[in-house]
Amino acid sequence: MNTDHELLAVFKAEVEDQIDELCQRLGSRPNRWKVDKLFQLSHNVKGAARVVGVDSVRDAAHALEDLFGAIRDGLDPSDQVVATAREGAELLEACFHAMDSGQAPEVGAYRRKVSEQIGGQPSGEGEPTPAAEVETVPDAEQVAQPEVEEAAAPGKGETLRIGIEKLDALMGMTSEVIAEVYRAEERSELANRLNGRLASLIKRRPDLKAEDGVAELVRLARELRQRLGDGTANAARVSEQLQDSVRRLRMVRVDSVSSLLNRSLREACRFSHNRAELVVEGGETEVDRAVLDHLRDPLIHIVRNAAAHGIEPPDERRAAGKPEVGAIRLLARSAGAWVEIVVTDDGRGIDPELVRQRAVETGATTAAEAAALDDGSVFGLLVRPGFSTARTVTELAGRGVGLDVVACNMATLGGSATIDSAVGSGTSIVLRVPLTRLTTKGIVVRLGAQCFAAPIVDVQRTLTVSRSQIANADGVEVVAVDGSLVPVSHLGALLGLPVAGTEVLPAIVIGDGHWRRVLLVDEVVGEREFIVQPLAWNLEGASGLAGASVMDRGRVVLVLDSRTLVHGDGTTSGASAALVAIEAARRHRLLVVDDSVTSRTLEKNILSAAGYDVLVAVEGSEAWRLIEKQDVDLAIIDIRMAGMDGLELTRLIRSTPSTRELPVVLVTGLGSEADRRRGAEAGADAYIVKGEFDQDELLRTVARLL
Amino acid sequence: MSVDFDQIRGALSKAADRISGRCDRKAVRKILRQRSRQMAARVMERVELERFAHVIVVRRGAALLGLPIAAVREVRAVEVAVLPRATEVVQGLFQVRGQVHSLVDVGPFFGETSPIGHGEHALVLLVAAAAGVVGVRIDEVLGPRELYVEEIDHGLHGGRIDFVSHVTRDLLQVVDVDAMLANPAVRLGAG
Repeated sequence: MNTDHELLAVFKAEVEDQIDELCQRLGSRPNRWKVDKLFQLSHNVKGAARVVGVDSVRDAAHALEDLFGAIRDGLDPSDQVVATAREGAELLEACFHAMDSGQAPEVGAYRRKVSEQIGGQPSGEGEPTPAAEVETVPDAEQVAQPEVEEAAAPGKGETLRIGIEKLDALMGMTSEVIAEVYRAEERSELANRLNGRLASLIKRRPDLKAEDGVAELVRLARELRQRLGDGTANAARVSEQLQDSVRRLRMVRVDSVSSLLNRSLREACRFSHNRAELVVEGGETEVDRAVLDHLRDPLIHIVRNAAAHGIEPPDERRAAGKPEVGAIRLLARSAGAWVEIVVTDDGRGIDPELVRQRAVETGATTAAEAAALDDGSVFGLLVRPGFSTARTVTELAGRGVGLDVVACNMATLGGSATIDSAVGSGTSIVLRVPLTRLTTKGIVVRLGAQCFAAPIVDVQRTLTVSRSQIANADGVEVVAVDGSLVPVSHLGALLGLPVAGTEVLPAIVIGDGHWRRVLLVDEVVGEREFIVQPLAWNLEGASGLAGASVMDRGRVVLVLDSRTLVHGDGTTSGASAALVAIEAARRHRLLVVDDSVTSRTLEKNILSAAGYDVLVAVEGSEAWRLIEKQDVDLAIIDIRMAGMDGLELTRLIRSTPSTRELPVVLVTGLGSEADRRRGAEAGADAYIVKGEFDQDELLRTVARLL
Repeated sequence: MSVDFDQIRGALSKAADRISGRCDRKAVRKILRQRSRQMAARVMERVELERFAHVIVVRRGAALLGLPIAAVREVRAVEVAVLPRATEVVQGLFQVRGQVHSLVDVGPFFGETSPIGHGEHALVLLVAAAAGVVGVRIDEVLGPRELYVEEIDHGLHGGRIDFVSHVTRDLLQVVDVDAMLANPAVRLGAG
């Protein structure tokens, strides 16, 4: 292959879309195929490939062209023919993607297969023999003719590829226009004030009316107010339209990922020996390109999992009275500023009991909590980051790897994922994402003279905090929010800015679903919509900041990086350092074993507030089951318990090779020297008497042993 | 207007007679060749000088800086948003036509340190290099200037500021913009 790079780039851009469309059309039911269009697409790809000398693409497209030509001429599109067509599309796609590697798949066998199915009579041109080649030329021109006419029609379906960065620059300029509108509004307000002052002056001094030129002054002031008001309203309307138009330029159709999904579906079916078909509805729904980029992986995983795990094997489906071919339906629809994508399948569904069981095993919930959860909440656990693993879902829920990526990408987009399922009937997953990532809503807060914006998806609530509400837990300042202790910091301290010493401060609670932090500020200004720009190239080291935005009056407002502010980045001191300590602590999983609900709850709250992951058990044998199944880093055990008591449990831990090194802290009401000695003999590392209970001592002991 | 061709022809004829009468043709050609070489040499020298640098001269504190005109996009007075944990060099952000850029002050390299407050205005030279675009804080623009080799003081070359490529005899410090933006102090968190 010896082609000019520029020409090859043009070829790739042109042909990729055509192959995508071909695959997409073939993914639908055969009765929805438009064979003429399929023939034309194959023909175009073949012609373009010939020009740049990509033989494998040319030959695969040629074989498909033969097949579609035969169907067009009356060949029955039997299951076998349909399968061959889809196989050809996959081969064509594979040849296209192998272009750069130079290791193109073998196409000869496929061409022979097509030739056999259509009775050895290629309907179009035949590449192998010069005679056939000569015959095809007029035919090819004939087929290509309609497209030339279509392309020549002015403005019809014409497209222009343009770099996303150019659109971003254009969007940035619209911010300036919006800022200019704000300035115009200010001028209009000044004119209003001028009129008001004049009116009140004349009211106080009616004699001025008689003065030469005063009437003219009043008339001019009114005219100024009128004109500025009209101009401002017009500018505001135009700027909104401009912003909307630029935003629309970034929109792409949801079904532009259809071919990718169909390919994943075919691979999953081949692997699992299941049969399934994907139907896309509402594919014309548009979404921001950046949003679709984050939807691609979750959708691939959902479709693949539905085909491989959700859809039953054909014989099982037949026995259940279902069609052998499972149906996976992707429905895209707009909902205001959001887009909903619903993927449903008619497979075996998810058993909520198995998910509950797994949730308890992994420590995501206690058995009591799991039992109290309704089915909807239980399915919600599957899309909680870190919960869903390959083991979890393939064993339990009929859903394999990938739900983690769904959860993570939804969090990135500020969207949500919900699952509904009925055993035996199927599963429905709803992804709800913002239409665009360009503009986002946020809470604007003020520190001194400077404003900052926190993306609204990260802000859980606003509140007011007085100094007296702030407590200290192991060196970390915390405040009670909705019944939980949450670390609290002044935003200024986290950003290295001066902090006001007011007694009562407004605050926002930011978090990412699992972590929370209260940020004290000088003022919560309110909710605004803004366009986030990335920070300049030389500011990547700016901690706690995610970007910048141009707001009212053209002022630059910094956008907070909630994740860094919640978790800390290791570069800051003080409160951020405490956060880092919490994060480090969070990696440790502690087990609290106590039959007293009060003691158990108290210890759990103290340890959780300090950032540890805490499991609980009410007696020794339950604790031992958890120790065997979970990666527990330290156990805090009461001595007097029904069933297996604390000393027995400690001895069991010490006598079992796999748990021999597990640190054990005995927390008990038994405070005599003999009791302490028995604890030490059983193998405890530390002994804390409840009567002398001090939360700092507990935290220090835990930290020392870890 | 009429032309007296006979008069012109006569004057030319007299001139030719004068040349041929006083020197031989070889000597004339030799003189002309020497003159042409001298003229060509002057032109070559002039071309060499023009190729050295074309800069915008600005003042920052007491320092006179020359930034290559090709790297300069525009000069703007901007409102600055101070950056948390700003340094003496990387001071904040500003926007031009909706695009947000960082404000870099090279003053500290030349002994001029002046922090800027949030919402204050600064005069910036928007410069672009391979690394990206930044706003360089300045006090005033003195105008464009052509620099010639003979103006450079070679004794001062190789000073302690790595992005000053040359210094002229009148103490204009010529800035290598790529080197300036590669300086660790210009990157927040890298210095």
